[in-house]
Amino acid sequence: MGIRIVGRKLVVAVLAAFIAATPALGQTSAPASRAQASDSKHTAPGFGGLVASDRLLLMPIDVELFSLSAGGIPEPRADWTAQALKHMNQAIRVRQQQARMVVVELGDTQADDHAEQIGLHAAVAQSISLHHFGGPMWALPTKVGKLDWSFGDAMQPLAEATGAQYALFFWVRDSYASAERVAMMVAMAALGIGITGGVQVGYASLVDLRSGQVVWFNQLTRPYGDLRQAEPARETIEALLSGFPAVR
Amino acid sequence: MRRRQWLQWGCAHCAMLGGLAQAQSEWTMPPRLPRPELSGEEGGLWAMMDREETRLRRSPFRVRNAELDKYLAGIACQLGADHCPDIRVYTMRAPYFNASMAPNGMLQVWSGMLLRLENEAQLAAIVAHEIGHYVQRHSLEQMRDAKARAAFATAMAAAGVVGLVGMLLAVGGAYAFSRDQERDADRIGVVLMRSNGYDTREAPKVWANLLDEVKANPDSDPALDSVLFATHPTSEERRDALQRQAAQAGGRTGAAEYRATLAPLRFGLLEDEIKRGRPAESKVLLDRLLASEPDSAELLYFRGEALRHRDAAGDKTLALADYDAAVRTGRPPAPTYRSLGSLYQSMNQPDAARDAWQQYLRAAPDAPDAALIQQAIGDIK
Amino acid sequence: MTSRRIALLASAVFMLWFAGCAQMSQVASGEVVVSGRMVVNLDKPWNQFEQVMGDGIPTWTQDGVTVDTLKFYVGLKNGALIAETPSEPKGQAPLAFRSTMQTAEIVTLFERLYSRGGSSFTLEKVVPHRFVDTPGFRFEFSSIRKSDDVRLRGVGWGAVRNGELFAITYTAPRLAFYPAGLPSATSIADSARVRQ
Repeated sequence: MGIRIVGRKLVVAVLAAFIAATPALGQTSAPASRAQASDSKHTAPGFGGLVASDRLLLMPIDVELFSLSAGGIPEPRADWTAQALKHMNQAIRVRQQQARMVVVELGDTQADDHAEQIGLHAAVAQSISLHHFGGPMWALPTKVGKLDWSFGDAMQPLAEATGAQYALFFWVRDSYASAERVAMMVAMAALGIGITGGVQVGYASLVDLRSGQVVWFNQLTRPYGDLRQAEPARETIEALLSGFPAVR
Repeated sequence: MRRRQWLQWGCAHCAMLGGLAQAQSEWTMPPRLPRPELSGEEGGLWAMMDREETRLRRSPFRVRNAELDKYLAGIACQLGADHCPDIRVYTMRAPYFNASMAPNGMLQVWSGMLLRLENEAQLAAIVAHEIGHYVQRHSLEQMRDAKARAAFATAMAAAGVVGLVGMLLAVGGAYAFSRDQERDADRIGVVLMRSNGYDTREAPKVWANLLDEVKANPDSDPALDSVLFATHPTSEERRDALQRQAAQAGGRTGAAEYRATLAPLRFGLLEDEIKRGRPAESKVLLDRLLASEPDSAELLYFRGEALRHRDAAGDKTLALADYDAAVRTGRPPAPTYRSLGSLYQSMNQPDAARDAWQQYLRAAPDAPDAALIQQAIGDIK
Repeated sequence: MTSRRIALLASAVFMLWFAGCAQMSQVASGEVVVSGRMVVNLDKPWNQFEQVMGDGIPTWTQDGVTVDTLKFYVGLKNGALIAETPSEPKGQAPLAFRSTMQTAEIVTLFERLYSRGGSSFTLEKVVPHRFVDTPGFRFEFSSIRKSDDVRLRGVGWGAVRNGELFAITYTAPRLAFYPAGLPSATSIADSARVRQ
């Protein structure tokens, strides 16, 4: 197994691939006006959509914020991450109230009991991010451009434990240029060299717990966003949920 | 860190020695540490450690043995006194000598350390030392430094390493506790051991034993190589200093309780140790363990394994002796016969090999490699 | 230039550079020759990593780099490595195949490979098994991947033919993916033969 390529190196590779492949930076991958239930990029083939009687399980958000040093090395910032979690959870709560579905949150003990499923989803989502949204370079030819990943019956224990039919996962890694980094950028620009000021990458993933199918997946890559503040954090959640399947 | 510099570092403990005997009675356990506000810098760190703790708790590398968990929690609680409710203990499966305690009260112990400790007093020495770092808030002092924090968390994100201590390994010296802090923690460790009735003479033995293992590999740099030592760099000086402190004899060692608790896990821990691929160090460890348990079939088998893998001049004969001794106990682990077979085969004694392998199949008919061994027997004709 | 413009510029540069280099190719079903010497029959198409998983070990997948992996070791000669030796941590012994190795030693070689980085490896079973028309072996194992705690299952088929190692290994998460992929991997291994 390519053990050396997973983990941190993969995150970096994924980041690079996203930056390379996102066709129109400055937009999300799926502006709300375009995404439909039949949009094969973001929706699994044959997915019929959600109904109001479906129960949605909200998984614990996986987010990490970094500061970009002058040298471009991302340094994790625990305090920023704590703020981001607070704002994102708040934004999701507001969305929850507006949603027409019943939303339940996965408790800590339940998460302990299903750690393997959660960990498996994270690993598979990394592959979806890279191979489905990472541009033509990384596309898996056998998928023929379709969102076609399934956990089989592996997610059923989660359905049984929570009574939910679908699970929604969020994952975000976000970096912000430190003051030194901004100074560096200005200096480099004067020399005609462009360097990044930080990037926000993430995904929202909707899984049918009974069939195991990843029925909807949205990838986000953009050079802006600030999860440390409430309003921009809400905007990031909106961007991640852009194109979320309509609820009949 | 170069070996010499690293060994000299330990001299800090010499200086401490003098003050220790007097200082003991002056030190009292600080009160419980308050949990910081989430919004502040410290709060963010706490949250990060909580997330790390959740990951450890759920990790498939966590050793989940109810008796062991209860045993460790009990010792940590006893030594931690008023801090007991704030301390949570996790045993992680990693074949290296290591333990660490995070500022949020999470105490992590690696299985390689449990294998190397000989009794409860030695375990108490380690746990008390870590509690010393915790109640004196040494980690938090370190983490206030922005660079250290970044290094800390960067290491946490590094692939291939789990847990706080692993992070510290990746970061290397940047995150090491200062000499003062180590001296402080040693001092507190001895105080806590003594006040809880443990024999403090066991503390220096921990370091003495580790030193012996390191010396088994003369060209290894203990500081670098010291995935074995991780955050506890050791030295002759430190061992000597601690030895001098244990002025009076007395206090319990708890060897029987420790061994009994570890017994169900030890075979797996020894397997992990051999899999490390450092047979010279493994042999030193097993020599020491066998000194107190000369009739342990398990230990004899694994020392045989270490010798067989090291395969230096004469090792085959030594390994044979150990395997035979294990067999003579009457209850050798089944793989002893398999290894005997491999050894005999490599010594061109096919009949003996066949006999040994046949005994292996009788002892373990459902072994993963039973079919392979059956074929190997068939090939000897 | 604003930081946003800089980012866009940098990204455009990246994009142009990457545009032409497909990293995945399709291996069509039917008869396929791997590394010029091993002929296998595919019951369905697979994806092949073009450059990244290098080592000279052809690597295929169904669901992606973090999920499942099918690797081919074709005619490794005495002294050849089954994987590159990483630079960190230092002093690691290279994973070299020796023609004199018995089955147990070859399996131990793979055990050391899968244990790299602190991952765990547990041998579940090893049996004599005919592979590439040669008396060889088949082994099954479990592993916990250190980097993300994922529990994997794995299987390997191998044989030494005229002092050269031929082997195929398949690993995937034990939940859902391993059972789903095992039939295809097995049919490929069963079909394998060596073309001289």
